[in-house]
Amino acid sequence: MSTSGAFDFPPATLPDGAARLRGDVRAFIAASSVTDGWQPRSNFMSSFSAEFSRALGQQGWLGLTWPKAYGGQERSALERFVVTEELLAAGAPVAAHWVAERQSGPLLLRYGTEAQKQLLLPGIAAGETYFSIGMSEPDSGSDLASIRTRAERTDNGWSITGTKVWTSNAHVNQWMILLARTAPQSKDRHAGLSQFLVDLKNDAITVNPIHNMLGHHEFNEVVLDETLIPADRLIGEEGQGWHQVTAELAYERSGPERFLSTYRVLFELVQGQQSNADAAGKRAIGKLAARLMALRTMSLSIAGMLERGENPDLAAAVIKDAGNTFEREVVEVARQVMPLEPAREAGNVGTYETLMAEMMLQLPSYTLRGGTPEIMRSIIARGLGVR
Amino acid sequence: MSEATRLTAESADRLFGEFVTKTVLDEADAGTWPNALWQAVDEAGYTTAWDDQDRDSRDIALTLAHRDGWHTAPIPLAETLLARHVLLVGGITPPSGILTVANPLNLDNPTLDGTRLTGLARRVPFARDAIAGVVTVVNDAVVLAPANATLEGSNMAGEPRDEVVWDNADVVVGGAFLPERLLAAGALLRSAQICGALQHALARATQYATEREQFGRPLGKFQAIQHYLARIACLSATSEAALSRASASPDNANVAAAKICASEAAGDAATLTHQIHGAIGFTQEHALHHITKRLWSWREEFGAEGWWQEYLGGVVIGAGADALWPLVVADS
Ligand SMILES: Cc1cc2nc3c(=O)[nH]c(=O)nc-3n(C[C@H](O)[C@H](O)[C@H](O)COP(=O)(O)OP(=O)(O)OC[C@H]3O[C@@H](n4cnc5c(N)ncnc54)[C@H](O)[C@@H]3O)c2cc1C
Repeated sequence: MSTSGAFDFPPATLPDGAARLRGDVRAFIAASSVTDGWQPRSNFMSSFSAEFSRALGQQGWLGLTWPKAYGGQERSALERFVVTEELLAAGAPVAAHWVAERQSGPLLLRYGTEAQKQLLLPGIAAGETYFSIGMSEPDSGSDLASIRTRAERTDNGWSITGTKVWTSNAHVNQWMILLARTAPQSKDRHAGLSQFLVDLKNDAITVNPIHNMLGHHEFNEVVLDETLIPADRLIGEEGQGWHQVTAELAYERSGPERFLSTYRVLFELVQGQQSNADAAGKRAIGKLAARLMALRTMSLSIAGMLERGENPDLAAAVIKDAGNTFEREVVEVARQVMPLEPAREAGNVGTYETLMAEMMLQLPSYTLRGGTPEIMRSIIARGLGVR
Repeated sequence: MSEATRLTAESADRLFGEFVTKTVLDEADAGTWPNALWQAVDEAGYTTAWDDQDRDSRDIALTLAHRDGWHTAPIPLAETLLARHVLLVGGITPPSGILTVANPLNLDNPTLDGTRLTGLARRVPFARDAIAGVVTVVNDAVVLAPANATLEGSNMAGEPRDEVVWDNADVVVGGAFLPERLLAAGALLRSAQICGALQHALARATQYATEREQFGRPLGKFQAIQHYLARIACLSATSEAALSRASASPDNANVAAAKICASEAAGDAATLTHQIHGAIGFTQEHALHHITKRLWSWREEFGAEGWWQEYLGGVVIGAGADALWPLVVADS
C-alpha cells in the first residue's frame, strides 16, 4: 500500500515583487471603486465593465504571463494569481475579460497559429477583446463528448451547423471558441472533435437571449446553420479537440474564483459581528476562516503547478469540489449567525440582506458552471485509480 | 517537501513499517508498552529531532508526527518531541528518556511555590510511561514535573491518558512561556498526526474498494463509493494544505486553521472509511479501527475544532472585516 497521499499540493511561495504588485493592485481597485462607484460582487460573472477591464489592461495586469510580443509581461503564473485573487476578494467587475484572459488566451497561446495569436492576444491583454465558451449543447452538458454540432470542410473553410447553449455573454463578447465534431462519432468517444474560432459579431449566427432565474440576461443560445467560416479559424489540430478542451478546462476550474464567489458574504458577516459576536458566532466565523485559509493555500499551490508547466487537472477537480462546498457553506453559516431576511430590492435594508438574496439565488449555478461536483468527484475517483 | 523531510519520511516509513505490526498494536491496546518500537525510534534519533529552533528541525518533527500518525505508532513520540522542544526554549536541559506534555487547558488549580508544584493534570498522554517527566506551563513559565500517574485512563484508541497529581512536588522551573503557545504546538503536532492517519484511511479505503467485489464488480465501480472516496480525498487535501501553511509559518491563526481542518476532516473521513469497509471494518481483527479510533481521539486533543474555531473567530472579528483578506493571504 502506498504510504503517500493521493493528491499532492506542493507548497508554493510567491516570488519577490509579488507583495509590491499586490499593493499596486489593491490601490488601483480602491481608487476605481470610488471613481467608478461599483458595488463589490465576488462572483466573477456578476459585473461586466469594459471600462474596468480596459483600465486593468492599461496597467499591464491582463495576460501577465504571456510573451511581450503578444501584449503580455512575461511574468509568472504566481504573480497572475495575486492579481486574480485580489480582484475577486475585492469584488471588482471582472466579467468582461475574465474568460478570455483565463482560458481562451492560454489556449490560443498553446495551440493557436501565429496569425491567430497576433490577431487576438494583444486585444485580450488590453482588456478589449472578450471570449465566450461554446461547449455545452441542449443534449450535451456533463457528457461533453456527446456534442452534435458538426463542422464540415468546404473549399475554403468550414461549414458549421448546431446549437450551443448557456453561452455566457455571447451577446456582448466578440469571439467564441466552439467545440464541434469534425468526424462522426466512433468507438473512441473523444476522437473526431475540433475547436474553432467563431466571430460573434460578423459570422452568420443567431444569438438568442436566455434569462436566468434572477431575470438577468447572462447566458444565450447560439445557433449555427451552415455557418461558413474561413479555414484559418481552426484552433490547433483537427481531431485534437478533446485533448485541447481538457487543457482549457483545467484553466477554467482551477482558479480562486471557484471558492471566492461568496467571499463578500463572509466579509459582511464579519463586519456584522463586530460589536456583538457570541461564542457561536465566533465559532462559525472561525470555521469558515480556517477553510478559506486552507483553500487559498491549495489554490496558490495550483498556481505553482501552472508556473512549472504541470497539468493541474486533478488538483483542479479537488479545488472546484471543495471550493463549491465552501461557497455554499458560507451562505448557510451566515443564515444561522445573522438571520436577517434576504431582500431582493435594497429598499431600506443593508448590503448584507441584498447580498444574501443575490447569493442564494446564484448558488445553484456555482455547482453547474465549469462542471458539476458529481463530475468532479468522478474525476477524483479516476485519479485514485478506482474507475 | 525538502530533501531532508523526504528522507525522514522514507526512513520513518521503513522503521514504523517494520515495528508497528498488527500484533504490536493489539498488545499496546491491551496495555503492553511496545519496547522494541520505542528503542528503535530512540536509536534512530527521532525523539531529539525538534531540539533545534529552526524551520528545518520543525519540518522534520512534523514529518515524523505525520508518519507516526499514518502508521498509528502507539508511542508518545509527538509528546517527547514537543516536551524536549519546550524545555529547550525554556532553558531547561531535557532529561533523556520518555517525556510527555500536559495540555495547559487540562490543569486544575496548579499552584507553583518556588520549585514546589501542587495541582492536578487530567488526560496526560502516556504519563505512566513517561519516566523522564511531564512538561507543562504554570504561571507563564515552563515546568518540568514528575509524571505521577495516580489514575490510569485511556482515549478511544486505548492510548494512555492518565491523571497526574502533584502534592508539593519538586519541579524544575524554566523561562517564560505562554500556555497558549504550548497548546498551539500540541495542536500542530496532532494536526500532523491526523493528516497522516487521514492519508492512511484514504489509502485503505481505496485499496478495499478495488479488492472487494459485490454484484460481480469491485465496489469502486459504484458511483456512490467513488464519491465517498473523492470526499475523503478532498478532506485529506484540505487538511494537508492547512498543515503545510502552519508548518511554514506557525502563528496561532495558522495553527488554529490546521487543527480546525484536521479535526473536522477526521470525523467525516472516519465515517466514510467505515462505510466503505462494511462489517469487516467493524471487527477487532481488522486494522481499520486502529486508524479511526485515533482520528476520533486526536480530533479532540489539544483543542477540538470548536475550541480553535472560537479562538480564530475571535481573532478575525477582533481584527475587523478589512483585515480578513490580508490574514488569508499573509503566508505569501
Ligand atoms: C451560470 C452558468 C453559465 C454557464 N456558462 C457556460 C458557457 O459559457 N459555455 C458553456 O459551454 N457552458 C456553460 N454552462 C453550462 C455548464 O457547463 C453545464 O451546466 C454543466 O456542464 C452541466 O451540464 P447540464 O446543465 O446540461 O446538466 P446535466 O449534465 O444534464 O446534469 C444534470 C445533473 O445530473 C448530474 N449528472 C450528469 N451526468 C452524471 C454522471 N455521469 N454521474 C453523476 N451525475 C451526473 C449532474 O452532475 C447534474 O447534477 C453554464 C452553466 C451555468 C449554470
